[in-house]
Amino acid sequence: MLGTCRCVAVLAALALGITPVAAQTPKGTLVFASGGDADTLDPHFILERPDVRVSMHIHENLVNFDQNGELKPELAESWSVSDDRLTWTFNLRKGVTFHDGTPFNAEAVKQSFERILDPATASPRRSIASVISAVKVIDEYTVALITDKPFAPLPSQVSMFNLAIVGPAAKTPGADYARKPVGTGPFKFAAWQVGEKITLVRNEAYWGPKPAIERIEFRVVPEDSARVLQLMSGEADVIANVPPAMLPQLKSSSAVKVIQETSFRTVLLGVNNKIKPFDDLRVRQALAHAIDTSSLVKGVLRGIPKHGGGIEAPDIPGARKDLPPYAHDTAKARRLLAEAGYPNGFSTTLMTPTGRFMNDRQLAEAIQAQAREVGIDIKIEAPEWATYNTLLNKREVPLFLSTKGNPTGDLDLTMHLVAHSAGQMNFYNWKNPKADQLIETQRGTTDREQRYALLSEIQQSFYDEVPAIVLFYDAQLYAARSNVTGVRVQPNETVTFTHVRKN
Amino acid sequence: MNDIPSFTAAAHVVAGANAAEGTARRNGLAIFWRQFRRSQLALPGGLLVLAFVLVACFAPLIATHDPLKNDLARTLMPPGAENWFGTDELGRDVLSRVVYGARLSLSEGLVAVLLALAAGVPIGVVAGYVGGRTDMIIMRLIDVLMAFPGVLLAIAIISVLGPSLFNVILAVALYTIPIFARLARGATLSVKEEPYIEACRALGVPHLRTLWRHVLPNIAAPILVIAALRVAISILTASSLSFLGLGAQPPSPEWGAMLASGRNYILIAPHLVIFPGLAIVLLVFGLNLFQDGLRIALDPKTTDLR
Repeated sequence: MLGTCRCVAVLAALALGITPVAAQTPKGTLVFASGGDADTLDPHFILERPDVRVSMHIHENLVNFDQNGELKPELAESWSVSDDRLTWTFNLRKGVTFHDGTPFNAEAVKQSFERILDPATASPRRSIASVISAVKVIDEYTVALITDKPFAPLPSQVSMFNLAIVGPAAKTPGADYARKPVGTGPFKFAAWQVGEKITLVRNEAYWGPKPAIERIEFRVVPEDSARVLQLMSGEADVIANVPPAMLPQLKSSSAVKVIQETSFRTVLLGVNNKIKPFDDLRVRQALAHAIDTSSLVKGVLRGIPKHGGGIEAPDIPGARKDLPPYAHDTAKARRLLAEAGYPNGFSTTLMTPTGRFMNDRQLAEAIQAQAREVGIDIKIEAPEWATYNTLLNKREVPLFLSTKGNPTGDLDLTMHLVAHSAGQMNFYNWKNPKADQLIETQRGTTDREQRYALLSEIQQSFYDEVPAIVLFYDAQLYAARSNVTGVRVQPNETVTFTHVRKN
Repeated sequence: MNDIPSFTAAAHVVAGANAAEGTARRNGLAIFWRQFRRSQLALPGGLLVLAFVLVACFAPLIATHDPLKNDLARTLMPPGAENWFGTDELGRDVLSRVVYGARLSLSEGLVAVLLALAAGVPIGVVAGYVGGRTDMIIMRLIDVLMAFPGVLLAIAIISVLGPSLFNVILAVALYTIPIFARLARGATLSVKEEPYIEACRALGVPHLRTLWRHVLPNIAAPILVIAALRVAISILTASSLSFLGLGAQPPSPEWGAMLASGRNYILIAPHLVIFPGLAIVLLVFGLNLFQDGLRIALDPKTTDLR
């Protein structure tokens, strides 16, 4: 009954969408519709994209990436490293205030870093800050970050959204910072109607060029088709996660435009290397050969994403571009399975989120059908997102559809999280002592080429041992009304509305 | 099927209301048939349901493709000569999926109702027949069960047992039990006072035999009518739960699940929701019409209007 009701609702919306009702949003307001609501706006606790998109308009980092992927000053005007490569000194911007009026200075930076580093804060992303052993206030506008061992990628590390500078308000007990964030950014937090929308208003006291728009509304519209309809009718100005199948339609309309950008995100079929029979390399190879990734890209994703075999997306500096996808070869897959002692295949479980990334559920079903060809019988489980994450963190699921992005654009971040045996995102239970050692070694290597050579070796062993089967590299598909200009989408998945104008 | 009253048994009741005991069953059937046709839409409804039953039985012969076979080179094809109902997002034939889906939906409805009957009717009959404290305790428990909104209860059950088609059937059956229990109890209460039951008691007929031979056949008619209605409601509920991802799991061609995955493509490939949606509507519509005919036919009050 519920099903029919919702379908009727969608059909009704469809009818409305066809009629040329131009429900224009007010000129000073930008309405952005995406599939999921944020969980928290406290940078030290953020794990998900919907949270990042909002938080990065409220908070700022010491340094950040510009549109060309180059590091640029943000709250720090300049920075330098000591000769022993253990002390990073940041000269801070003067005359900046937090949204509640408290001044931004070295003390605020120190408090912010110490907050995420404090085990009592219980930040799930503490490991990202943990390379920093101490924060020293040198004077009002100079601060030093000190590491125990040389850590070459520190400037890009502090551009990570988890290391954004939170206001001193975060320290106040019972402040509920996750719901009332106070940053230095171009927009201030205004209201949050959970499950519906988050509203930000322009920060009139912003230190930089003031945004042209006065308000941003981050609306939650879970249904793909509903989001597209809202854009077509003008109820939304920008939408995220356009379904690939709808691209031709949107491209043919003059009222809207598609914003397509490559992504540092890899979509993969994770394999738990500890669970039988996947502890056997031959079984993992067999699965890799059973899956026809090129038909997944073409059939399920309309040929939009990039295709390849390396764990890191080829657009990330230092990523291997020469690793091809495992060839689709069912005969070889069967032979490998027989060698491993499974001539008749086996049954296993694949866990997938629904609607979290591009066509996830359909991908799972297509993989299920392809694996059946070589005798691997896959049962799909599609739990709620929260349950999915809990199960993933327990590392007890044999197969899972998953993704990994790279917010800092430095391979160290994800190699450490994903490939290190102690990595917080090593859901594959992959243990390779040599890779662990290489990860540690490259951290202290300042020479870029040398570092990339070490990182390249890690990527090679990840490829050879197939702890996960790389399916493709995500593409970011946004769409906007044609009168909206200045939406900045970066390969590291940062979306900025600060420069938006509505004509 | 033992404790499920048959059509003839029910017709027997109708006849029994007017004629003396022992009226020929054939006569009863004839009356049933005449009454059944008084509802002009009952026959078309019945035929519609029959058509779905036949499709379900002969699904392998009717389906033109393997309902699970992916063809990633031919996704989201509109209805055409090769695929009469088009193909879905993974290139599977929608016609074949709808055809196989009839099996799932019909069994959802029938199995859930049969389970609910098997549990609910004995509970209600015992409560009504025994009466007193037993009745009170049983009926309060049933009231508790009834206090939960149906779908909510089903969702709660599934969250404990895990999503699967069978668990959905169990959940739907569970929340249908109180309906049959109340109905059976009410009918039993009124039948209990009839002279022939008193006669049984006076003759020392064992209780179980009285229940089986005399009470059950005489309360069968209203239960049967409601059962037919509940089949339709159960099909709807089960597909709703599958739509929400709680029931049939991929790649199962369950209609509700098909609607759920097809709705993402409603703007570019509406055939993905139209055909399974139409199948649900037609089947449930047919069942409702049929049930209406059944109601008129089995209602003793309308029997007099010849």
